[in-house]
Amino acid sequence: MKKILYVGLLALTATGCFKNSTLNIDPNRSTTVDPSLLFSGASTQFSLLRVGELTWPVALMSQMWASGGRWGLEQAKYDQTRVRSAWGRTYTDVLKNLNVAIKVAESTQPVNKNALAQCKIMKAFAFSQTSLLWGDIPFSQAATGDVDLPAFDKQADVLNGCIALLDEAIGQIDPASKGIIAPNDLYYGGDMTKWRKFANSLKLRILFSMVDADPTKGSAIGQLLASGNMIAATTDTMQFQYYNQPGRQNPRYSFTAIFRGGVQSDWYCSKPVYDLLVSLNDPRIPYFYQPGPAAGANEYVALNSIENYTTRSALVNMNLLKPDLPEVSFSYSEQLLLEAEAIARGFATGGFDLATQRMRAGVRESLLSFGVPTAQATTYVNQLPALTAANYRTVLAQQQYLDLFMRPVEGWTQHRRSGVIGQEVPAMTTPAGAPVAGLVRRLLYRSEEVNSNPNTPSGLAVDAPLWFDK
Amino acid sequence: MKKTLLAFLLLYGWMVQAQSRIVSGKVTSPENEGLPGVNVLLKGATTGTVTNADGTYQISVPTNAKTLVYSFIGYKTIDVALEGRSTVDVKLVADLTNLDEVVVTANAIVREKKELGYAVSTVGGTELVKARDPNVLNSLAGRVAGVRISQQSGSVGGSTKVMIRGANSLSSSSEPLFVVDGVPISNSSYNGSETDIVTGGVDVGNRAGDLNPDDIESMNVLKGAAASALYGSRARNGVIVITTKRGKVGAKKMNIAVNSSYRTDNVLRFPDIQNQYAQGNLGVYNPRLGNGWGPAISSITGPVLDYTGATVQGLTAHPDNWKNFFVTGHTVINSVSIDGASDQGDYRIGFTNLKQTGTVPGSELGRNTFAINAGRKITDKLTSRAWLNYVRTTSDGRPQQGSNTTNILSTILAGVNTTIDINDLKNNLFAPSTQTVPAGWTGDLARAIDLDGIQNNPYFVTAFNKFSNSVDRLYGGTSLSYDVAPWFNVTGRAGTDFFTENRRSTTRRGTRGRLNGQFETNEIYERELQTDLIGTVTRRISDDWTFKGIVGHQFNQRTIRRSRVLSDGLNIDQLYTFANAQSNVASNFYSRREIFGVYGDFSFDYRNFLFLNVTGRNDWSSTLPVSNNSYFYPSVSASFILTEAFPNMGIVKRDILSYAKLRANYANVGSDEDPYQLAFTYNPLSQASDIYTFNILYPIGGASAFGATNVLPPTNLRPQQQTSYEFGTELNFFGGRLGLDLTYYRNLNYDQIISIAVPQSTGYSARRLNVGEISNTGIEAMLTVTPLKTRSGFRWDAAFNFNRNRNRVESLADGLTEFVTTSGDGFGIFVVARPGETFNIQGVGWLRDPQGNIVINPTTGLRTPGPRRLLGNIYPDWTLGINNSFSFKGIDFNFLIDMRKGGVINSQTVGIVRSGGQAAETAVNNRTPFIDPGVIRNADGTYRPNDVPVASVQQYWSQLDNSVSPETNTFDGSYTKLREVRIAYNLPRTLVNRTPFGSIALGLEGRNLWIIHSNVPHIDPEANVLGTGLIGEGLERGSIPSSRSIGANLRFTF
Repeated sequence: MKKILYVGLLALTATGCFKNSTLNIDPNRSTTVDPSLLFSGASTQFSLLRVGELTWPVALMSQMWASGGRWGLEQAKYDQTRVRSAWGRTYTDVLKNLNVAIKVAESTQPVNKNALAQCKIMKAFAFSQTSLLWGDIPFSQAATGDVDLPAFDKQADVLNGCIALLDEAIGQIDPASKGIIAPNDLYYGGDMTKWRKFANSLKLRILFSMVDADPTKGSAIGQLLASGNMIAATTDTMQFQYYNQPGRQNPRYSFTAIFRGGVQSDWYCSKPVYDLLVSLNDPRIPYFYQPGPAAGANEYVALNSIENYTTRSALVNMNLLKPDLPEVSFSYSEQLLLEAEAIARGFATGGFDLATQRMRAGVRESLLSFGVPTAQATTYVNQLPALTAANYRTVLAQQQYLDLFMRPVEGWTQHRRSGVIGQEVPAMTTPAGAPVAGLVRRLLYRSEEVNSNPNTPSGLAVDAPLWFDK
Repeated sequence: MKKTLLAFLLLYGWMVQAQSRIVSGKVTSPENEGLPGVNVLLKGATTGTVTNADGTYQISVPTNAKTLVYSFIGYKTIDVALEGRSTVDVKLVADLTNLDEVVVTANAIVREKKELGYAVSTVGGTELVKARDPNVLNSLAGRVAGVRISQQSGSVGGSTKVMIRGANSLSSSSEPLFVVDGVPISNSSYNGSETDIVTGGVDVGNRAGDLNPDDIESMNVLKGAAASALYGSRARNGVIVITTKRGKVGAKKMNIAVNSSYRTDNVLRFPDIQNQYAQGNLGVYNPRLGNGWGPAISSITGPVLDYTGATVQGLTAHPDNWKNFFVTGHTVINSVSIDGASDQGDYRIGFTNLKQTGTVPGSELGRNTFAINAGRKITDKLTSRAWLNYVRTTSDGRPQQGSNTTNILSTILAGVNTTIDINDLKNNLFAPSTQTVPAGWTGDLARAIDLDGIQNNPYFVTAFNKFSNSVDRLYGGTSLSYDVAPWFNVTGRAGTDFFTENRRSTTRRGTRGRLNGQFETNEIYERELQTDLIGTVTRRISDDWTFKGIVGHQFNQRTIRRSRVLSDGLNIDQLYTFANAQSNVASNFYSRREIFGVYGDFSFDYRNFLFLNVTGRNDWSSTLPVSNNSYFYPSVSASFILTEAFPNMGIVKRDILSYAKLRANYANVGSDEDPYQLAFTYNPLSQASDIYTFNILYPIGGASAFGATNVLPPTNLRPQQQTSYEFGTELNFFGGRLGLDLTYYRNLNYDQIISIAVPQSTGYSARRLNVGEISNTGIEAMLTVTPLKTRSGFRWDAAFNFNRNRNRVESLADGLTEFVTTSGDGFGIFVVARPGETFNIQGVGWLRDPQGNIVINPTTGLRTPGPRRLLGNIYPDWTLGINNSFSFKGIDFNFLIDMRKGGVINSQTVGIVRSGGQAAETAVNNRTPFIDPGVIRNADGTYRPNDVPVASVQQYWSQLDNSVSPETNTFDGSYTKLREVRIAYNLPRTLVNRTPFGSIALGLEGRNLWIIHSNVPHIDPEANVLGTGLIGEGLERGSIPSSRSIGANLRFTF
């Protein structure tokens, strides 16, 4: 009897080994993917971090904007606890997915070289941005999953690596064939000519961030300018479009919409920036700011970084926080101003006349982008002083800084590279109550990385300059 | 062995047909009252009956029958020789030793307790209905050795955590498996991820709370792996085996029982709030704030603005704001059951209705339970049974807990300064025009408790921002049992448990912080299916040896389906439809897993005093790699009854040592893992996010998106393992006046499957692998003593239930010094496992000198935050329950004291009321700055005692907030509580006989009555926001205060 039972049980069990079972195949997720779907996810996440989480703390601690104490004053005093997910998400949601997309694209025949190029350009963008915020970062061993404890590469190596990555990408671009196209290319809709322009311009930005620490980059800048093929019109602007639809709005608008019912009452006019504008008699003041609710019609009351707001305090203009404004990654005005700097510093030919011409063109583009009427913009740029060996550093740095008013990530880098430590343009002072004596010069590594990666550099003060910051 | 078999048969409702002659009689208690429900069996046969409500019985026996056996739980089983009589009256003697108690163990296998080589605890159903708690698990608190029960919050229908012999896993909660009538049921909670919970979740309860105490015959707690080897993997955390009630033979064809309870709940403990100081900053009045850092209220006499912007003449304190906000909760439970039995079968139908309102205004819970259980004898050899429970639970207005949303009540209340009248808020839900109203806003807007309009009126939250849910649940099964031969039985059983839960939480338009409103809809479907085929062989091998063998096959399948829609931005106020929302983000999830198991259980009985049991099981799991999905695990246990082996020993004979049993076991349990963890996958993304949660939804610009997994999948995954051993003894002295049940155990969990964090710079957040060892070593002791017992019937029993468990993380992955099991990311609190330690709370501690003194900043006189460190063990060193019961002539008086020693609790509520200047201690000594004890670092690196007073009392207390350092808000979690007081009165039969009732019992009960001792200020030290689904406890964040309950209960039968 028992034997019969055993046999019966074994017969029942034989069906239970899941040998050819599909039961453990995940119905919620896929095991294959098209690289363009990874690309659109990485781009969107990257843009969101730039326009959201990295905007507010960076703008406040670098004194580009003032908090007025609306959310406390700690961020102005270099508290970085609100930069909580940018490090991790850049590696896990942006760089990792770009790497996986490259791997998938490389193993699909025929290999889509344009797609590879687009992914590599975004990688160079994300790595260089991360390094300019944090300094030495995992690069050569990062975001692949192959190395458990990625080494931290020196900033110079990271930035040189990014340039090499861009060169590799430029070499793979074939404007005659298709790469990742609309809708998944949320920047250029698959226009590979524009991607090549952005790649070259990004190279220019990276070279400029390096040139103070590594003067040999001057000649590289000269060569780059000579070969051209960079952003050359507003239509070439590298930007991520947002829409006035729920869930697709620029998060800078959502913040005000959700917390304040659409009334901007969080971001205030910062004194060093306002003073600079006043000193230049700059027409951008009413475009950058709006008067406080209890202030007069054209009364702009600025706050220093740790002053509490009043109902008269001027605010960042709501027109710059509209739901459908794009997140700008590289603008034509930035390009023109960098070209002016290259010429003024003698990296490229043309002399101060050409430099002045480029500067005026760049400032004009900048003013127009903020909504200043053409005539007013033209008048303003024409009264700007011609660049000379004596004034070019200050005049250019002022204009480059103001141009980046709504782009704190680039604006902070611009400020740090605008002069030797203590001589930055515009001049700023350490906020009272800050934990260190100097201006903030770096983001600190997040505890998640510190706790899990023994290679993370330690003992860094928040005012210790990065390698590029000379 | 026969007896076991008989009991087994009886429990399955087998009534063997009448033979030839009738024996009748009455069974009475020592107090001469008729005892209903006593088993009357013919010795050596399968014939039996049960006494009626008045204790009378009739049994048909063969003419040559010699002996009847009378047994009843709580009384000694006796054999009575018939000697030809046709009337046999029997008086049973109370049995304190429960020698012949039968226990329902794995797979509904009934065994005699003395056979068992492992510790098992039983709680009878009658214990559960005397004081009825809506969540039956709470009734186990303090009563069962080795089991720790903790109620997670004061929310209606809140969850109750059960932990048996310590935490076994680094990656999942150590909740036991619940089994009803041989079929596992779900105890899931879906209370959300740690982020959801920490940032503002609702305690939606755990599904074991659906169990209806009135339908439960008994609850057995199987604690070790040996006890539960046959259940497989899920039994490694212990098993709670529940047997539901069945129809019994009564005086009438139909027995009717009614049980009605009424109970009130009130908040056990409110924070101690100061009533001297108004809102403001550094003593300057400011109605823009809701804190307590303004000037003395008495100093403000002239006209000032109040929190609404209205001008008032001076301010007044309202000391009862908290008390006035919370209300008295009411619970009404009514149940009725009908049952009956004959020799052909039995049936029972039960219905219970529960209605409860909570201490938070507008919170309510309702539950209707229908239970049917029926057995039928088809032929002499074939019997069948079917049972079904339908439970419908609905709730509304469950409060949010945690720390980061607009709806957390206790955070809001901590911001209501005493100068604000809570009744004013109650009567005025909406904002007056004098309060900050966003320009262009039309429609209703919540009145704020501050002029700046940041915090919502708590009454607005309870009126409109509601969490509601409904659960429709069905569980039950059917079985067929066939006697192939007198010594061979085959039983087949199939059972299922499935439920659908619908949830909705709303945030009304006009809620400050979420002006445009939102709502979330959740649908959860869960189903478990299990079939068993069991063959049982019972053979007497020789005069001395009996063998019983069980072999079985099991199939288990679990399915989960969820969908969730987050709808944001409402066009029309209070219209919670998808089409009315400006955006809807939907997500869904499906999973299914299966296990095939084959098992065997072989026991040998030597002369009824030595028992040996060997089990083995092999599982095939769908969730493991095909190459490694089969795993075998064995157990062996032994029991030795010393007193029966040596009945002639002096102390045994003189009844000094009435009973002595030694037991030992060793077991191993393998287990699988969650489904779908093996492949490298790509997830379709619904949104991109950053910390501000202004998420970008896909598709954007027409583009959808995918992301590769953030968890590196495992390679060569093996089953997880637990090995355990246990030694124990049960001793009874002086006929049961003194008893001791002592157990020592140790278990080791290894090859755990967990996701170990990897640096994010790898591109991944974690890697999944077999790693990590945790052990639990402990002692359970249950001492029972009857100090007093008089001839008049007075009796005093005391029981001491002591548990001590040492949980230790033995090892983690190579090179890994710490593993974060639960993270309160961004709030500075983590539950971490470190090798050589148990689970600890970790957070930023105060900077200390080498002697451990707190280092004070010489300019401010304030403490300095230092590095992150361990702030204390989350689990207690030991717990002790002391139960005293007194009985006299039908009156039972019972009180239970519950003690916990050790372990820490971090309370954010304490931090908030202190840093906000609302706590009573912030108002002492007219807020004169004082010197905080500590040291100041000298220039040469030495330290001197602090001589710098704090810059201000406000700065001192503000700094003690969790956001600076959780250290000061972390307290020793030891407590002593008066857990339960119960008075039960059974009306004497003489009185009842004159009524239409069969029996009448009255009860009064009080639960959670008094915190006798606690080291935690302001809150009940038992609170825990993590609930049952997450690892760890000891974190309190905006919890709803727990309740003190007082109630009455009336039970009667017809």
